[in-house]
Amino acid sequence: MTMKTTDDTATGQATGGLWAFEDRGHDPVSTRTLGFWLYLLSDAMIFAALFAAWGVYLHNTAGGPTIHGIVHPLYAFAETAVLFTGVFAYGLAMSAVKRAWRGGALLAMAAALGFGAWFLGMEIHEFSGLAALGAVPERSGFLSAYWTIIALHGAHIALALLWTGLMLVQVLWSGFTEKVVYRLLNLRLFWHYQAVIWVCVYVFVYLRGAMR
Amino acid sequence: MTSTSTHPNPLDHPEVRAAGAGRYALGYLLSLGLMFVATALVLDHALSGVGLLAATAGLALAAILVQFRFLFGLDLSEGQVWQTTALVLTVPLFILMIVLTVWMFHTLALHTHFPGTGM
Amino acid sequence: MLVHLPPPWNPIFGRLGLILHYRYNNPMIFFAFELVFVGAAILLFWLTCTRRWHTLWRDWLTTVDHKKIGVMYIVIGLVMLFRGFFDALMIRTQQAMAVGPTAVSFLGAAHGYLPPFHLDQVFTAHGTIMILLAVTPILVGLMNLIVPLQIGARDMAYPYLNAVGLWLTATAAALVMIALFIGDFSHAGWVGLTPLTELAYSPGPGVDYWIWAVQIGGLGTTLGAVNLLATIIKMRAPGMTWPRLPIFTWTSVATNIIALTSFPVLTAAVGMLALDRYVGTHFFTAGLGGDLMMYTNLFWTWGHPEVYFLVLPAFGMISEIIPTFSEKPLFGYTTMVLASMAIAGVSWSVWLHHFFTMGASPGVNTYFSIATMLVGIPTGVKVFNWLFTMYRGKLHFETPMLWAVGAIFLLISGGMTGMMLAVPAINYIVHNSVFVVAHFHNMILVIVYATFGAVTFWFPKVFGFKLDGRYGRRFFWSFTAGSLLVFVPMYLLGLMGMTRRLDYIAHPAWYPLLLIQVVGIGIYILSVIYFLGMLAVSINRRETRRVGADAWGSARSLEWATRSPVPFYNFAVTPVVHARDEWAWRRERGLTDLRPERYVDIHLPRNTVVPLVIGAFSLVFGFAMVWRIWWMAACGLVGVIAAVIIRSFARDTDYVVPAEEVRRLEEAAARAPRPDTATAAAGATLPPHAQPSVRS
Repeated sequence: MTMKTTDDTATGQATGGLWAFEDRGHDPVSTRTLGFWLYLLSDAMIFAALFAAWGVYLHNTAGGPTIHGIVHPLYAFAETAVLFTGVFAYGLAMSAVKRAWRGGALLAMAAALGFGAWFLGMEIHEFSGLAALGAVPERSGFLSAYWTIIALHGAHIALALLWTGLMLVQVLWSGFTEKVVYRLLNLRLFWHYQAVIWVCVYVFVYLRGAMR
Repeated sequence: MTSTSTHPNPLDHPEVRAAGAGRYALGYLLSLGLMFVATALVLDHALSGVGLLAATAGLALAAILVQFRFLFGLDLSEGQVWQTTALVLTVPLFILMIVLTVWMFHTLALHTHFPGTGM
Repeated sequence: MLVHLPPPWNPIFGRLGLILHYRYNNPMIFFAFELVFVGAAILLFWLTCTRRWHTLWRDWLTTVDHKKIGVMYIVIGLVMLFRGFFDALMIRTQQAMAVGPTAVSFLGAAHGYLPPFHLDQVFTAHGTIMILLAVTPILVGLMNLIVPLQIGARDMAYPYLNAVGLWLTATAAALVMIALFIGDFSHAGWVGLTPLTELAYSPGPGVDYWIWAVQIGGLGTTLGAVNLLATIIKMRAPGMTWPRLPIFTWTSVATNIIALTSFPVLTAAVGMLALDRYVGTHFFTAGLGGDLMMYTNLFWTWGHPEVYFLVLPAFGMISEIIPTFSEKPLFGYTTMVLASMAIAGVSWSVWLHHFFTMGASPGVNTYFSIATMLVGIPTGVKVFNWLFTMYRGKLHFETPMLWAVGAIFLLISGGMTGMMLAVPAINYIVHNSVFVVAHFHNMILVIVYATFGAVTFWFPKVFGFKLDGRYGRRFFWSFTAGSLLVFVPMYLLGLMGMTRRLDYIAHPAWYPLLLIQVVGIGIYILSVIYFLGMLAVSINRRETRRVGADAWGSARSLEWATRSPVPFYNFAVTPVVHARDEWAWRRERGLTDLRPERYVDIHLPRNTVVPLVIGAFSLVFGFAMVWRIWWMAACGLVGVIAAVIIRSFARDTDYVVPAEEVRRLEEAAARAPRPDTATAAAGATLPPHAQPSVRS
């Protein structure tokens, strides 16, 4: 390890090189999206912790319903299709934003809102069916983990809906200003992230339950 | 933010320009297709036990990679390199956390629990 | 849906009726009550008399300036450090009083003066406060203060979010303080031992206070980590490439990677516990498929990375202090960076060493044992780098250097005992003994030493005058004597078989060592007095203690290339970076004049009250959840969401300081009489630019 503190390439510069007079501008949009991406990775860690627990709780049924008795893979596949369509709709909204087409963006965001709400409705329907069976989270460690993972994902979707609704208003209110645009970009990350988490939920919770 | 924007019109920002309906459609169809294959494999009981679990896990991984590439648009370009770096640094932690937890509790159960009682 | 609780509960007051059952005639609580209220009254009186309400509001409560936020983090940390110290005082005196069958008894306790339930709350509060609400805020505050300066940024990447993080931390601290007076606090250890924390065994609100303080504070820390990482990645000055990043900033990168990825696991673990207590799930209960070791697993999955989250910035501080007071560049910069990253990485494979005795297979224990020992390699690299930095350096033992060198000694002894604990065979024997307690206090003291060093080191940068050296040295030596007298006997007691968290000591042979510990804590009290004396003397004589940009005359990194105290815009003009030790580079070339040829407009974020409002609503939410006042919790949550939404419609969030105004401020500051930089640095005799920086 050489002990050099100075970088000789820069020493040729005159004193004038000590200060940067041009405010070259840190890019606020990509600073925001990077920060939100970091936050999403942090959020994903909560799911990682829950999936780690899920790997253990899967068998802790305490004599109550087992995973095989409560999942319906085809119904969950329909949920998958609805959610992915909502995510895709939001992608189309961003494609419209790129072309500065406000009407198209609003329409596609409204579609995402609709599909997201549909997905949530399907989840609530599924949960009420489980509750009718007595497969409530208070029944066993296994059911606690099952409900918590799915409900946490659902809560994320609910937040995405609230945020999308807010952005509908902001696009109408102030158009594509810088603040609105980076929020739209962050919301895109948020929607797409829901698809990634759902792949894990679908395969490791629902399909796992359909395996013998 | 404390500085002026480098892009006077925010819609000219590279991350806005990166949006693409075709790319999103590809990501949407591919990940839905992969999930369909996984569902079909499970419902047909095409493989047994561990094989089926591995196959579906592989399909899930493929779907996630498809989404990272086509939905998020992650790559090594200047605009996305930090996102990709952060993800690549974090994924091993997800795996460590899940694998080590399942491993330690598996051996714990062998030591302390009666098999099959669900306790 | 919600757990059915025995009365008293009603829809308006929730469980607040329970407070009628608490007995407030305990003189300990009464004393704390007096201390807090008299202190608050004096503070309010002083604020009013000196007409500082407006300043407080404008300059502090609504600020988004990273320096002021950093200072407020440190003030919160110091106040909580004081509270945690009181708890320590009570634990030590209780244990020394409660030895053997002839032990004295006061205040209704069978032995000593604290009944078990009260002592349990005291040590729980001590641990929770010291780790999450004292050391963490002080470290986050120092990173907040120094990192943007070291990389030549105007502020953090998200100044508004920065203030939100601060007020969430303040909320967590407030919840713990409220628990002292309204209701009680958790009695289940700072780790929240399951199933003791479950409703069946802890039906009171104490554990709930602990849960919501941890959750709200943890969210604040996570947001802070996002902010610091984005700042370092995106906001560096021109020329500040990664290989030129100051070492404290590098350790901040490593430590915030840990915070970003580990705090959510704590959120998950404590969130599942909260579900158990509020909804009646069975994650960690003793029956119905609950698995109490899963809590331990998840808690330590966060807990061990958290330890490195605390220690890495401390390593960064030591790495800044030692080169400055050795007048040499840091030895082995690259290995230092790699070692920090290696520690951050390995921290994700060591957590099971906190519960080797769980009963996992030898294979599992071996894996975690080896991973734990591996941590010794990068840590050893760091120790040798510091030693080689000092080797043949021109050493000045100013107060910061004393703390830094002290930290190295502590790190070596704590590291050795850590290696012992990493061996499962030894760990089985000393598990749950005070040997473990002595070990982790030893390691936390490394952090405390580095932090006190860093506070003394950077104090003149932030406030423009130095802390008094005479009192500083007294503080250091009394603190060191106290530490030795408390923790060396604790190591010995651990090896003699004393378990932790005892409220009664049945073994009279341990009495002498316990008594030595009380002497040690007495000397700690002396050190607190010296610390307060240091502050008082320094503030009183601040006009004679003013310093220039480079307070020590031999500082090296970029934060010294702006005025002291740092103006609100940090740098009059953004500096261009040429070298790893930019300030040393400029000094060697005689380029230390801070006045550029011209000035430019500066864009800055405006003050906002929204973060304070979010903090206030989250306090309402936390308090209401503790007492299960659902309407009030809903109001708190809706308040937070509404504040965020309303803020998102704000357009006028930035302002511009015109170039002419910057010129005026800079020239006024240049006219102010300041002692010469070289005479301000006590040990330095040569003018700073004449000193060679590489002596080899």
